[in-house]
Amino acid sequence: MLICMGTVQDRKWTKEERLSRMVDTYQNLVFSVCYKVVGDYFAAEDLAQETFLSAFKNLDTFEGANEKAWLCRIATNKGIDYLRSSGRRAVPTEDIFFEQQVEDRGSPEEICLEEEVRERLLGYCRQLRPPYNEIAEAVYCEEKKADEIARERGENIKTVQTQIYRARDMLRKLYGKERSA
Amino acid sequence: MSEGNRMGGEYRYMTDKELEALIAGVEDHGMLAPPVYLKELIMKEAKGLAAVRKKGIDKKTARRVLMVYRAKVIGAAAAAIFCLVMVPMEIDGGKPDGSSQWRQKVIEEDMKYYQEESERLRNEMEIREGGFGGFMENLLGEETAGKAVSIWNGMTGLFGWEERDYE
Repeated sequence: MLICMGTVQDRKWTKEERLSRMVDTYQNLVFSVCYKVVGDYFAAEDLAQETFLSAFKNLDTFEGANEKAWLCRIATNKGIDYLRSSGRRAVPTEDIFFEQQVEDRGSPEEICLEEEVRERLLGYCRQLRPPYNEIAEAVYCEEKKADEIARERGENIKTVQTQIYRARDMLRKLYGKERSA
Repeated sequence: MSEGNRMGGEYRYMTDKELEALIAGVEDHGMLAPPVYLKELIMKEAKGLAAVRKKGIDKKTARRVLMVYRAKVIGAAAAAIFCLVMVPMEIDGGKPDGSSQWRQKVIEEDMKYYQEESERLRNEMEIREGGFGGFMENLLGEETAGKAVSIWNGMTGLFGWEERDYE
């Protein structure tokens, strides 16, 4: 709601608006932190979602200035809780992790995390049966939204949303199988 | 600090310093874009949470709902007690000859009805068991039926028909 006499800075944000702004600003960071902690794309997706929802619940009590650190703290704690509850995932220790970082930094063909993950995701997407393979590829690799896909394919948006939901479930199962193997 | 820092097989939460290092590491090495639908999912969930909270905060409504619930429970308990205590007394009190005599009367009426029905069914069975002869006798009277039956028997003899019992 805009205060008539005020400037943009005087604008009183609703909780939903604050959350929306936070998601826009920090979703990549939070998601990446979650991914770093758990090493699982789909678990990271859930954890990022939980992180923002937890922040939303506690938005009234948050008085700190460093929103980024606060969100990352929630994300890492949730990630560690997840690892504790699953209790069997192999995550590199501190030393190994930093060794890897140094090696990566030093290598001439610096491997981009995003590319690596995307390639792996693309592989999983292609393993799905049609039309879910195309839908998953469009969502996860081409970063298309449901309405865009619906327009391109000439299908109802609800149908596409359902297909995305199913494709995600299939990918999760596939990913889980491969990890456990 | 690693992401999932382990201390003797246990994962422990990061210190501020470790967290800073992790954030710096992630920011330096390129961040990963989450799925496009993530924001949509979060906002949807958040709206749901906000709606639930709004409902919960409204104390007046909660109190009213509680009062209605209490009234319903008290009403139901009162009705149950009334049924247990008052209704049997009303039934007994409504009959001048007392409950046991009244029940006896009802049983006798039922027995009478049962006997009449049994009699009727037995008659019907006898008629059926009598076959064609019995049926005709019942329909036309004894003398006429006798004649009809003899004609029928003659015909069956002539054409080789038999009265079969299919039961």
